[in-house]
Amino acid sequence: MNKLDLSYEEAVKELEQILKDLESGELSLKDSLDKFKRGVDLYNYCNEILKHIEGEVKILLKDKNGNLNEEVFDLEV
Amino acid sequence: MSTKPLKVSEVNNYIKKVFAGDWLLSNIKVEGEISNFKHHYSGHMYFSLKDEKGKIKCVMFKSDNQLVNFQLEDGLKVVITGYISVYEREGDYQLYAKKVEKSGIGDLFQAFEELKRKLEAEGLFEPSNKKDIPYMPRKIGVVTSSTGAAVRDIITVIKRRFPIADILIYPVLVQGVQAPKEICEGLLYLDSKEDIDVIITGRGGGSIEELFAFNDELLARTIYNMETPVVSAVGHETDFTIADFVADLRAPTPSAAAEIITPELNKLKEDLNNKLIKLNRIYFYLMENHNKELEYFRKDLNYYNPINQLKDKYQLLDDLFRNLLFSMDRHIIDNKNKIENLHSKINYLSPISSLDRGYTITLDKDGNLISNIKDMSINDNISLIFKDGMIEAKVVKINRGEFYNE
Repeated sequence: MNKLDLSYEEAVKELEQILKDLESGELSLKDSLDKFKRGVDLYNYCNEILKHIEGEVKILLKDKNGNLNEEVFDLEV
Repeated sequence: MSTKPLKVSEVNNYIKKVFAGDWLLSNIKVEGEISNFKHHYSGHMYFSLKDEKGKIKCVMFKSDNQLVNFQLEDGLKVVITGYISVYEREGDYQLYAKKVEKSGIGDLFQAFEELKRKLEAEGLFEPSNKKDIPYMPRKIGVVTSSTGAAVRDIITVIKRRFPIADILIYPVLVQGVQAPKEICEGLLYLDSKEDIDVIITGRGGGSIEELFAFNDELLARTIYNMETPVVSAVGHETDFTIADFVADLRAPTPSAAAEIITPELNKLKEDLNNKLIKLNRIYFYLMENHNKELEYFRKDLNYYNPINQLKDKYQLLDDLFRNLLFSMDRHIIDNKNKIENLHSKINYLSPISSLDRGYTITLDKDGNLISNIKDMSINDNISLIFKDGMIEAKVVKINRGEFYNE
């Protein structure tokens, strides 16, 4: 669902603009429909991002050759 | 010259008064190295301050040493501010420490100020050169010690606010001679990674020397030249380092840094859902309006539809036709009645019915009806018609005049 080449922020901004445009009531029926569809797409896109699974925490550790490797970092409290 | 002997306590008390009246001894700064350090269980500190040639006893009471934010220990070079007085019980004079600083702090501070001025003049602190912190980082780089409280605080806050972000830690020393170099390496490594959206570098609270790695010139220039936005989080809110000035954003603490760079996931979700609800509401409102408008048009069109006008005409025609039929019927019935009337009248007046009553009809030889005698002559042949037959007769006598006047 990454078909929109947008950051979350850009997507939300566009969604807000669509709401504004629709609220103005100055759009043609066709434009309203198009904007609505686009708005739903943007919502789905943003929602997908927020539904992203739990992020991972990794730490870079040097092996004996001095190369950096990413390893899971356990946070001990 | 003989004088009255004084008691020991009187002597000590006298000396104490003399000391107290001395402007230098009553407010003095002494530099030296700590030795025989003892932190008594009462909370007071007892130690000596020494240099190559001498030594002085020192005491620092609990109420004063609570504010010291570094560990006093033997061998540490310090500058003590306080006063010198006499401990009368032992006859010792000692330095009562009110404040203690590490030696060389002044040098550090001066170096800090000089570097700050220099970099500021070069424009490294210019707000216009600072990069924007992303609104929603997908992956966060952290350059700090992997063992301190800072890394724990950062991870905890990110997990709480925005758990979907990935975190990549580049562990470094955060104090000591190697620290600036390692921090620079960490920053550059993470900067080379395409997917890191923002980097936090910093450490937990410490003394000014401990934080001094973040006052390094190379580190300042490295931060300045980074592609990725850098948030500094060094020490506590009151600590300022060169890294703080040059970073794209200065956070008062590591926790605060994590807080600043992450949006609150729950709030984002709520905002997003509200937008969807609003989108639906506005859209359906618009559709309803369009439908209403359409309905008006439909009604108008219907009203002006010629078919409907034709329907009216049809109806009128039907009415007329019905009226016509009705009139015709009436007319026919009227006529029928009239005819029947006439018929009975005719029946009544018919000569045939006169025959029934005993009259006869008289015809001349040509068959014409004879209704009077004025043209009749003797010997004329006539026919008499009866109800049940006809008689041929000859006129034998004619009596002129009214028949019934006779």
